[in-house]
Amino acid sequence: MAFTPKVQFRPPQWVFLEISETSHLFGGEKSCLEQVVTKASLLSDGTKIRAALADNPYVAQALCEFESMTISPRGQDSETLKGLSLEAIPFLEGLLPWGQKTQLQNMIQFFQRLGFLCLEDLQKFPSTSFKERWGQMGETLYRRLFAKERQLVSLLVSQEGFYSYHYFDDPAFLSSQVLHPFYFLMNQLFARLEGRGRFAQKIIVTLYFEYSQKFLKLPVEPISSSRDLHLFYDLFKNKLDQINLENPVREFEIDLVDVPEKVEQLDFFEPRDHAKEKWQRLLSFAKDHECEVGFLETDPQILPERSMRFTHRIPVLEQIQDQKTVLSDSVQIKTAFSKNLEKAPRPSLLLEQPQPLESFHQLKFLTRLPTERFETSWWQLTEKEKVCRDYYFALNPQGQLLWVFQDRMSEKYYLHGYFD
Amino acid sequence: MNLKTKAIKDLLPIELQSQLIRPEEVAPPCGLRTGLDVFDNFVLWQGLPKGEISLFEGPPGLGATSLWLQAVQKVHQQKKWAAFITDKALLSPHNLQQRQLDLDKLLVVKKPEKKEQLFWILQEMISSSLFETIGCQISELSISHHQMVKLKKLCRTYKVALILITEKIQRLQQQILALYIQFKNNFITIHKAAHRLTPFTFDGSLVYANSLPQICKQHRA
Repeated sequence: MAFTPKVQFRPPQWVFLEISETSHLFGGEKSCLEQVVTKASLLSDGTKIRAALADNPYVAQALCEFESMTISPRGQDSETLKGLSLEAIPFLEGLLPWGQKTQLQNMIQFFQRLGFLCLEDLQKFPSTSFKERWGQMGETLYRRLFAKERQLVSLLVSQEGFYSYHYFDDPAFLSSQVLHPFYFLMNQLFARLEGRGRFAQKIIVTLYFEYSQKFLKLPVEPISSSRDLHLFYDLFKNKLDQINLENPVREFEIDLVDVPEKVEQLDFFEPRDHAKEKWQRLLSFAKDHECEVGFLETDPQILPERSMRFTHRIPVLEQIQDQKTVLSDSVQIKTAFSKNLEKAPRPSLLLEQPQPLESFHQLKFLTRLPTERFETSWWQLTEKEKVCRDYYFALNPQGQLLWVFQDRMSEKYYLHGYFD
Repeated sequence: MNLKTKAIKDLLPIELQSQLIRPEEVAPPCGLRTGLDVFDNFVLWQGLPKGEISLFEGPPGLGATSLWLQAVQKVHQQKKWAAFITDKALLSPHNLQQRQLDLDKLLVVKKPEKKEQLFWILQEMISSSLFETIGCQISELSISHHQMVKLKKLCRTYKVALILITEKIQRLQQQILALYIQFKNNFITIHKAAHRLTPFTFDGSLVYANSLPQICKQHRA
């Protein structure tokens, strides 16, 4: 679909492309034909690619089989067919294959017994001759010989899923043996993705082993969808390296989950930023290795340990302010931590969970009175959820500057952060 | 100056034209300025060395993170990125905002549970060429010597300033480090800095004086 949206596939190996409206984008019909063959060769598994161009799909198919890389001039399909032998008749199919192959072979043998050698000889007969002897099939043959049958390549997009499969003749016990066909199949799948304008969200590779009925599913999901083949390959390679292949792999399947393409509207003068792709790669690897990687974001909460969160996307910074809710005649205000204390000192390192301090007597408190007091909304919470803390700055004998609080409920001291 | 000497002096620039370096091209290796003049003016790089590994040794609460964050502030002013790997305590975003740091240009990584993953994540982050500086604050440095050598090569290639902030030093060969600073009590001592006479000590309150005015003015309760 990189060349035209009008594509139809007839298994096992025929692909029909309607390029009458798009060939000029690729430098003309001949250039377009060559590019199609080149691209198909890259995706094939070594099979020779043949192609031809004609007004009608069935003529193009016949030319493809016997005179590859031929371009039939416009409006002269019947003239082009003249030179082909009778063996080309089974290939005059296009989008609609012949129904009765046996009758077709009988037809060819009949013509051969009469001494006919090429399709030009058949074109001398009127349509009634074909129809009387072979009925509907004869009439169809006549129409195709004279390029009178219209076959339209549809605009409908293929709905088949992205799936691939590989079988090892000799079971693979090395990861490199698995990675080689994997890369080839992924290349094909990503080419189809590109043609359909879709992105890959994740792939699930299912490995089937030789000596048991077990199978192993390896999901690979980067941080965001893309068509970055190398990223998916590297992520799968990392996962495969962690598996012991003493029980070798006999076959594997690839299921690709696709999503709509994300289109970035770039200004003409705006340089393309590759940092975002590097970010996605780094975050995907980190996620794969179960490393928590992200950005810090503030949260309008009263308690310091709840007033920050870890986010995997680039944060949208909002001004710290109270949350005000107006309900009929009442106003509810939820105070935000550090809203009015922007100039007040805050520790650079904050412990996720405050640590109890046993030896707080050794600390030198810099102020007699607490610098701040945090208290949760006592009218809403139960006894257990109530929090009331008095915060101090303190120095320990080693000279470390600490952020310490006293829990007024239990009267115990806790270490909450360091001014480092 | 006699005529002969003058003639030689005039001839030399012509003969050695391509090999001569202009005075303005001679510059020290680049570093990340911290804004702390006593430190920046002392070290060769006029800041934290880029493309090298530096070590800040000392327990938290003595200014090691603040010194690094001051360099990060300058990095963010240039719209560039920094990263921080932490062991137990997270950086407080409120403190970062007070320092006018850009939270969306500071990637934070929680130290992975497996030891080998620390080396892997450092490798990936350095080779991603996204960061000007990476701070790694861990209570115990569990990177082997050959891993450190590898990291140093990567830092040199991608011009990243890697700062290791740790409480305990294990057997770490000082040849690998370009800068080694110890934070103890109220003093900061530079034990190793290329092409400089060390040790060099200065007052620790210079680093976090703006955090607590009481410390700066030496007031006590």
